[in-house]
Amino acid sequence: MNRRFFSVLAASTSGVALLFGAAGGLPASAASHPAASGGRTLVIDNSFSLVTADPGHMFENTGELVDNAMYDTLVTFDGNNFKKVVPLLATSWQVLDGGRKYVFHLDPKAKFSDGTPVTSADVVWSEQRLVNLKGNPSVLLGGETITAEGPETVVFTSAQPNPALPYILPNPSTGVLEKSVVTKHGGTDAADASTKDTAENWLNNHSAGSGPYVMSSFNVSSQVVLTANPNYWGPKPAWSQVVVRNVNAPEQGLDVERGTYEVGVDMSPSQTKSLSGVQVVGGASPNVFFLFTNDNPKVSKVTSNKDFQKAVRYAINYKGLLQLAGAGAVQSPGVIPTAYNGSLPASADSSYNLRLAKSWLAKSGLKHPAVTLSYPESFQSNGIDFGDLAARVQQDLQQAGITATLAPASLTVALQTYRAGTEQIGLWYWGPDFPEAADYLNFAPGALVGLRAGWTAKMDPGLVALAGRAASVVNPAARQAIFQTFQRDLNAQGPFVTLVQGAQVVVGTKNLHNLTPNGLWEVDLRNLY
Amino acid sequence: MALAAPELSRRARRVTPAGLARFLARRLGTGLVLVVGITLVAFVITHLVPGNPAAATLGQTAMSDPTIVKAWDHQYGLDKPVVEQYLIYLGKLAEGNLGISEHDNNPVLSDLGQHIPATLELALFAIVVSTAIGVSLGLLAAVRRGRTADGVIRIASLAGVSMPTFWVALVLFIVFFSKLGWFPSGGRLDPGVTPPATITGMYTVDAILHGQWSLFVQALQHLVLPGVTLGIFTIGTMVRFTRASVLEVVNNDYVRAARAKGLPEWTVVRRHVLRPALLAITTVAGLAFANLLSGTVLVENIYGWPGIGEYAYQSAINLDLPAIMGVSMFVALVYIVINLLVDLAYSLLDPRIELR
Repeated sequence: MNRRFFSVLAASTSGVALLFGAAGGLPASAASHPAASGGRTLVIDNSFSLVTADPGHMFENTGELVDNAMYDTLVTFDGNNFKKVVPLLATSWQVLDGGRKYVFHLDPKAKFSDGTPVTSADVVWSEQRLVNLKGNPSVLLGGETITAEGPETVVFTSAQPNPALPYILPNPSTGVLEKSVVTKHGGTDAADASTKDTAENWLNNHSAGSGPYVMSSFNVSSQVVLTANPNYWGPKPAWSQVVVRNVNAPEQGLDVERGTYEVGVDMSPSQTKSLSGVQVVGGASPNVFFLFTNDNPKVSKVTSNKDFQKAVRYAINYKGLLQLAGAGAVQSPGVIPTAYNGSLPASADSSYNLRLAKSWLAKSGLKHPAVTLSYPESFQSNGIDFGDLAARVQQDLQQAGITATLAPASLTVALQTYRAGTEQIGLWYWGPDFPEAADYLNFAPGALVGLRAGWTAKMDPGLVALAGRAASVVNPAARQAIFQTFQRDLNAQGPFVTLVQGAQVVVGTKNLHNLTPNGLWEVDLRNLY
Repeated sequence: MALAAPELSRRARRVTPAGLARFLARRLGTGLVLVVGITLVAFVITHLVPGNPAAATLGQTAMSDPTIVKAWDHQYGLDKPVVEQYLIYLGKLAEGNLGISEHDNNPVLSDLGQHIPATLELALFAIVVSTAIGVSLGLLAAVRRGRTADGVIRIASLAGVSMPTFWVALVLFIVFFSKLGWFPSGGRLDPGVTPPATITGMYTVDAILHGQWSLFVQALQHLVLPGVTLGIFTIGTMVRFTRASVLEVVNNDYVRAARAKGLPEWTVVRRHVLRPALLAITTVAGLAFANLLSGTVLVENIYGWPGIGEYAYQSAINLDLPAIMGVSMFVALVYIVINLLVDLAYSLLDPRIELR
C-alpha cells in the first residue's frame, strides 16, 4: 500500500480533525454576544413548559416566568410571600359588599413599554379578553364582571363573594395588555373572542405590556429572549437582556457551574449535591402530593371502608417519604400548602403508627385486603418520581397488611382514570391554580377532586356546607380559621391522605442577589440582580 | 421501514431520460400512496390511544368547565365524528395544510419547517463526519486484515455501536463542556445570540450565505458534541460494513490481476476494491442518514437541540394529533426519498444496474 493511500485516508479524517480543532480553538463567545456590548445578560435554564406568551392563553410554568417579566398585573406578591398581596398597577383597593365588589385604583405613573399610560380601559379589555378567550386561564376570572369607573378605577363584581380575587390577580395571565396595540393585531374582548381573536401569534413575537422587560424573540422549543423595557415606569430593570432557554434539569447545574450570570430552576435536591461554586436556594414547593382511597363502593368495597382509610393514613411512613423528596421538602399537614393562608400548622401532620394502622385494619373486618394503586408513570414533579413514591407507599401498606398492586399508566392515560373517578387508590399531586385557600375547596365532597375520589356531596353534607361557608368568608382571621377547620375535617372524614410538598430548588451563579425559588413563576426576574 | 432492494438488471445499459422519468413517476406514485397509507395508520393509532387530547392540554380546573372543553374541542375539530375528522384532514392535506398544533397553536407545517432544518443540519454533520471516518477506517481495517490496526479498529467500531447514545451524549457533555470547556453547552447558538436570517434554516449554511463567519464558527461549535454523539454509532456501523464489503472483493481475481499488472496499490484500492464496495456502503449510509433524521430524540433532548426529534417527543406526550401526523409523514417521506436517492445512486455507481 503506497504513501498516497495513506495521504488520502489522512485527508478524509483531517477534515473532521480540523472541525474539532477549529471549534475547540475558539472561545464559546466568538460571535457577537449582547453582553459584550456593555449590558448584562441573565441566562435562565428551564425545562420548558411553554405554549404561548399571550397572557390570555398562557397557563404553563415557563409562560408564567416570561409573562411575569413582561406584563404588570393589578397586584402582586412580594417575592415568595403568598400570604400578602402588594400593589403593582393598582396602588390601593377596597373590598365592598361583603367581598362581592373590589375597586382597584391604578397608579397614574404606570405606562406601557411604548410610553402610553395604562388606563382602566386597558385593564377591563385585558380581563374580559381573558375570560372570553375560553382558554386554560379563563377560569381564573369566571363569574366576575369587570368595569371601569373613570380612567384610573377598575371594578370587579361577582354574584357570590370572592375573597380569593386579590390572590388570583397576581397571576401573569391577568397581565394588562395595551388595548389599542393588541386590537390592531387581531385582539378582541368580545363574547366570541374564542373564535375571533387572532392576536396570539402577534403576542408570541411582540409584547404589549407595562412590565420591566419586553419580548425580543420567542421560540417554544429553544429560547425566549427578553430585553429591558427602556420606558419602564418602575425601578430600572437589572438586566439588559434575559434569555430563558430550554435545558433539561440534569444539564442545568453543569451550565450554571460554567455560567456568567446563570440560573437553573428545575433541579431536584439530589441533583444539586455534586455542584460546586454555585448558590443553591431551596424551599417547599406548593405542589402537594396526596393519596386518595376511593370512597365509591362500586369502585372498591375495600377502599371505601372508612376504617380501611384510617389504616392507610397511619400506615404511611411520612418521614421516609420526606427522605425520598430531598432536602427542602416538607410534610403537608393538609391540602393547603404551608406557604398559603389557611394552611394547617406542622403539629397537625398525620403521623405514622403501624400499630394503629393494623388496629384499624382489623376493625375494618377486611382480611388481607388487596387494592390497586394508580399513578402517572415516568412523571416527576419537584424531582419526585411518582414511580418511586408509589413503591414507597406500596411498601408501607404492605407492612400494615395491605397488598397494593402498582398500576402505572402514561400521564394522559392516567389522567383519564383519575378524572373518571375509577381509581381504587390514586397517587397524585395538586398544583395550585392560584395561591389561595379557595383553590383547595376542590377537595370537598362533590367538588372536582372529591368526585375523583368517589366522594359525593351526599356522603358528607356537613363538610359541603362548611366548604360553602369557607368560600365566602372575607375576614382574614376568620377565613384562616374556617379553612383550618375544613382541612381538619377533611383529614378526619375524607378519603385524602396528604403526603409531602416537594422541594423547589434554584441554582445560580454566586454573583446573583435575591435568588429564591418562586412557587408561581419559578424565579422572580423583577427582584433578581 | 427498511430500504427496498433496487430492481437490478445485470445488463449494462444506459439510463435514458424517458426511462428515468418513468422510474421517477412510478416511484413517486408509490410514495404518494404510501404517504396516504401512513396518514391512515397514524390517524387510527393516535385515536386508539386511550387518552384525551384536551386533558393533555387543558388544566385541571379548565377541564371541569364544559364550555372551555367544548370550545377547545371545537377549535381543533375534535367534536366531529372520527371518520369526518380524517376526511377533513385529507382534504386539508391535499391543499398542503397539515392542520394546527393542539399544543402550541401554530400550523404544523410551520412547526415542521422550523424543526426539520435543525435536525437536517445535525444529521448532515453526523453523516458526513461518520462516513468520512467510517469508510476510511473500514477500508484500512480490511486492507490490514488480521493486523494490529484491524484489531484496534474492530474493537473501536464494536464499542461505537454498543454504547448507548444517551450515555455517550452525557459523557461528551460532561467532559468537553463541563470539565474542559472546549465546546459550548446545548442549543444551536450561545444564549441570546440572534440566528442568521433564514434561507435554509441550517445556521451554519445560512451564516456562510450571509458572510457571518463568527456566527458560522459558533454554530459549528454547537454542532460538534451532538453531531459526534450521533456520529459515533454510525461510524461503528460504517466501519463494519465497509470492512466486510471490501473483504468480499479484495481477493477477487480481477483485483489480483490489477496488482499483477503493477498498478499502484492506491489505484487498485480505489478502482477495483472500493468502487464495487460502494454499493453496500451507499445502502448503509442511506439507511444511517434516514435513521439520523428520524432518530435523534434522545440527543436533541439532552443537548436542547430544537429539532424534529424534540418536536416528536413533545407531540407524543401532549397527544398533539396533528403534530403526530405531521411527524409521521415526515419520517415516511424521509425513508421514501432516501430510498429513491439510494436507488438512483446505484445506477450511477454501477452502470449495469437498470432503473425500471
